[in-house]
Amino acid sequence: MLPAGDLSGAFEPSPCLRLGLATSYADGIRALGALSYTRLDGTIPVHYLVASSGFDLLWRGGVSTAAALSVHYARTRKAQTVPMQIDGGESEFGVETRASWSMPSKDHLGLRLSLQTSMVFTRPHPSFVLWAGTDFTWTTP
Amino acid sequence: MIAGWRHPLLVLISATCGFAVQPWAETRELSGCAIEPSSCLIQSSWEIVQHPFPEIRPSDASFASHEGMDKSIFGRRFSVLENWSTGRTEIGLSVGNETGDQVLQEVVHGQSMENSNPATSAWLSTPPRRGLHAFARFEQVDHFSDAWQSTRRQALGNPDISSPWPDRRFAWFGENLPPFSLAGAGLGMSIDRTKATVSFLDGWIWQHLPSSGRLALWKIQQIDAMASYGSTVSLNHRRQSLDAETDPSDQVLSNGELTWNPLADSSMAVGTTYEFLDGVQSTESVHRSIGAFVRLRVRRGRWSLSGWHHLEVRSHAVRDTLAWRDSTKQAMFAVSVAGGSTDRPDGIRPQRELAMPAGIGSRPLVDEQFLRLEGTSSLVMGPVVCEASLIPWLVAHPWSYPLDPATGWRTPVSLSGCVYGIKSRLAARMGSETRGFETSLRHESQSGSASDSVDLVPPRWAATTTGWIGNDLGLSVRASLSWATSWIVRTGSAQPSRRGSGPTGQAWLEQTLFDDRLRLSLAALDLFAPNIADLPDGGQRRTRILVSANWKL
Repeated sequence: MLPAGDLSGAFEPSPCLRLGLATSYADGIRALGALSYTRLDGTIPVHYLVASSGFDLLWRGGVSTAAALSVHYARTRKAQTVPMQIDGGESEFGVETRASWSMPSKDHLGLRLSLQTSMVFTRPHPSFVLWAGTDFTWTTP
Repeated sequence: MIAGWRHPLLVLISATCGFAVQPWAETRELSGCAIEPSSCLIQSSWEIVQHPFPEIRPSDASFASHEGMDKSIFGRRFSVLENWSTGRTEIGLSVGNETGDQVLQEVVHGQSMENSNPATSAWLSTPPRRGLHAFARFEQVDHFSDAWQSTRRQALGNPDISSPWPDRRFAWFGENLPPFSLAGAGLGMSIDRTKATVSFLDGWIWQHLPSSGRLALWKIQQIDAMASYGSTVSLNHRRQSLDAETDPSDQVLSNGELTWNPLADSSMAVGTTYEFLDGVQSTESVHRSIGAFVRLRVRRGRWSLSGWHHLEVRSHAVRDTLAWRDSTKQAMFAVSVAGGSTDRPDGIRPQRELAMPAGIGSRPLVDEQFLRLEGTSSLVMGPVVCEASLIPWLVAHPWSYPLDPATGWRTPVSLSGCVYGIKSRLAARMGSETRGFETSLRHESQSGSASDSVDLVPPRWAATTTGWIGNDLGLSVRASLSWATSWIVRTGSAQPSRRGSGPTGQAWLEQTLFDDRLRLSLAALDLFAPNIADLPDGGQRRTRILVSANWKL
């Protein structure tokens, strides 16, 4: 997870764990949902959770592009000297776009490389987050 | 009768009537989105959480049943208090940002825009196993602001709210001292014709009294038990305890209702009610009250009569509606007349919520009396269904909810004189359930000696267009665009809130998956919100988004 824009510098890049579920929706389209968790360090250490739901368009050669709506939730890991909104947790909506390339799978197991951008509707400025990583996938027989 | 309508016109010379027509009932209907769901004027967080995806069609309030016991707290309604038995076995979660609360007051701090109100609601209702089922619900509107935070902390004596124990941070979740945080669970049993449920609710509610600036935090605990045998006999008992965390005030309310349906078709119900209030509260005295009621819902051919008559030691209420309705494949015509008289504000709880009145039991001394006529007709003209309605109404001694400067509470008072008006609506609709559109035009006039003092002056004109489309893959989209002329909310304030004419927009998106077991929904409300308050002392009207996920069990 790579904080960008106003978040860049405030938080350090951190490893992220994502659990997702996808189901066939129509020809060449999958519906997907995912939960992501990151422990962010930086100016304020926080728990960062993202829930998203959207559609994945399948292209040739294992390439797919996805768009999703998301709910972002952040909460401080330590009490602050000055009371802050995210002390007790704060949520915000956002949108995500993702491009992925799935490697050929074997025995229903596979790997997928993904690059994702998130825009969160924070105020006064929107926040941006980049995500890059590898998904381990399992397809039902 | 209507079969003779070979060439019916859309002109409706009708008299019509519906149910509650007090000025605040007008607010209720607008607030509750009954008249024109897509152009609600005021929505509290309760309404948004409870009805994020409202029906497009106006509801028929003419035969709405009496709502039974008033379960509101300080006039406020909460989904968690009312929505135990939805009839659906599912697990669900709703999360909203900017769900806002036009009713819930915000402490003013400088020129900054109000903070948003993230709302969270979760619920569970299990399928029955051996006659038993369980249910639970959680609801919290999390509202953080620098002004609120410091003021609330001071009111509590600056406690350490980072404690892991809810009792020490006054919320089930988070450390923001939210306006309310409620959670509850219960068990239900159903064996043959005998049914019983018992539920327990626990949580916290902040109350802000705008004129005095007083902030009060209440700890609420509530037990609600219901038992019934078939449709013959039912008993509902509730015990609600409110303890003020910020001062020694407290109150314990026990009330209930025993109902007997002597007729097999349940067309009549008789019963008794009781209410015992103990404890100490600044505006409330201890009282005990018992009463009796009769409810009717009779249909004979094209005629129907519905009503309820309630007499208590401390109050009374009477409402009756007589209606006639006929229809063919091509046309429908209905007329009704309704009248009522009451000195009690419950049963019209949304009005109380908007007014944030004093505690349980406050009521004016003079009855509010209303008379309402209603005529409704619909006509199929090829692919188009046209509808028209006309509603003249009259209210004598309408109520208002002014602030009492001495206590900071809103106490209902009776206005002298009367207020009357006519509501009319024309609508055309075409399409099916999966795709179509509807457009409507509404006109309201309001006059009378009390019309300059009543709490709401609705828009004179409003127009709405709604379209919807769905596909075989379970995706459905609905969007609505409305325009209304200016309107006023007074609530007894010296500076009434006036809102100019303008548009409103709403959009809904829903996707079902896994054979309709999973339902994902999004509601975007008030898309052109002006970020200003619509109610005196109320919160800002802002664009709101609410997403929900439900999984059928």
